[in-house]
Amino acid sequence: MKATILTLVLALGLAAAFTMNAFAEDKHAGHDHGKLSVGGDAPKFTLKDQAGKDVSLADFAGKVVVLEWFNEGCPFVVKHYKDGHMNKLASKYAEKGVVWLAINSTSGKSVETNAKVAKDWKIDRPVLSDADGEVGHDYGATNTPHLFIIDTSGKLVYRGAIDSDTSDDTSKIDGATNYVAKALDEILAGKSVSQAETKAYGCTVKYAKSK
Amino acid sequence: MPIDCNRISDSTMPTIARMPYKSIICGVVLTLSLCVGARAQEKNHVKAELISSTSAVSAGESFEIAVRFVIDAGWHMYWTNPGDSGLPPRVEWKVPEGVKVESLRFPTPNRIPVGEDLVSYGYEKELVLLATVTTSKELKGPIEIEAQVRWLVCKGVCLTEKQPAKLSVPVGDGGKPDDRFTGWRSLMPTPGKMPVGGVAKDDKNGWLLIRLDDDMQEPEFFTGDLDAAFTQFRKDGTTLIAEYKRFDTKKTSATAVLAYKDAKTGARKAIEFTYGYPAVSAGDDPVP
Repeated sequence: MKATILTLVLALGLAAAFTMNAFAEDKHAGHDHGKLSVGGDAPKFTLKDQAGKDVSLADFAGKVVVLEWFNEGCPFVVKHYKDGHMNKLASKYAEKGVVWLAINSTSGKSVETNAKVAKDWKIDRPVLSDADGEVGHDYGATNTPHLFIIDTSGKLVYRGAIDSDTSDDTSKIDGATNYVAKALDEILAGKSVSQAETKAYGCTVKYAKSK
Repeated sequence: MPIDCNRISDSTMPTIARMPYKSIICGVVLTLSLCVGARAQEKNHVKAELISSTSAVSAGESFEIAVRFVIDAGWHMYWTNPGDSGLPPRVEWKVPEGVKVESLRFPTPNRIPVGEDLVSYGYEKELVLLATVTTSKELKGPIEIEAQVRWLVCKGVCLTEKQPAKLSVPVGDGGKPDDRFTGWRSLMPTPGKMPVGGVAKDDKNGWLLIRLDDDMQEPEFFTGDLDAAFTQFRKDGTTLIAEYKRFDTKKTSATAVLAYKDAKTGARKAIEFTYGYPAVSAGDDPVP
């Protein structure tokens, strides 16, 4: 029986080897988040914050930067804001020199709508407007929330979920593993990030069409 | 734009009462008073109801309970693994002593494209979850079951909605079965085995290779593993090739559902099985 299974596995493997090339090529046709890989250079960008001021990634050269894909209309984003968790987390690391930028790639959102949300949700860090989705596509941001960490040398060192609890339930945040905090602690301690990639959860980014 | 105000305020307000959420959304396009006015006429995009598999249950016997969701056109709900985004529905039961509701079973999901290149696993129009209910011999009727049902429903925007539901089942002999359950049960995947091989590109990426029976047409692969993304799958002869990326490299196996069209009957069927991730070979890179 064991031999049969082994043979089958080998046969399947062989069948796959023949088809791998073709398969590797057509993977770009569809769902491919692989444009930017963890460890690669973080794409540059300049976007307007909620005050209409240009903010560039280059402004923060030499600093650790967190990018947080944001959409106030998403219940999973609300989960992390309604009791102040996201603001607290960002402030905690701001004190340690970490820059935290929220990016709103939702189609139809503007500097003005971001200004309103930032005021009402007491967000004192930049909320950047990417309504045409260009930066979101460069980073392969698929979800809100979707978190990216860029290290002091400008390399992407984390991409994924904010934490391990994939529900929209705020009461579960405290019991979850916060992957971003864990990665930032490791970076600030001069270590490499142990869990550099996790599966993001939440809403999909509501990109403008035909991108 | 007023529609945004309607959609968001109704469903999310109860859970975020402490923040001025509605005013944020509405303030952008409408005055608050208009929003409040609009809110009174809103309703959920999904209706939930509880249904018993029998008109009466004998004490000590088990029966089934269905949670039936009727979903507004164009909106969708989610499987246990929602895919690239989303959240499955949840039910909090309140049952009398001596009654126990087992875990909910989900029907075979469908692939629902979201945006340009993302896929949700879920359901449109109607979703029926089933759970076995056990009763003790000492039970005296009727069995009053109450449930708080919560779900996420999406159509461009995503909304959390909730609804209380209840059901009373008389205790006694001679209960008549509800025929609809036969159809609902047939939508559930059947536990089984599938021959799965694989090629690992590295410890995170690779391909699963599933040998299909001859009568399995139009196969669809759904991973039950929340820590894995399957970016593509395709049929190559009698093999289904699914390209995966897994995030938790410590996990060596997971569950999956393979749905297909039965060549003989034309019916959609599905098998639920466990698969193992292929090990990375120490030597050659298996991918040319």
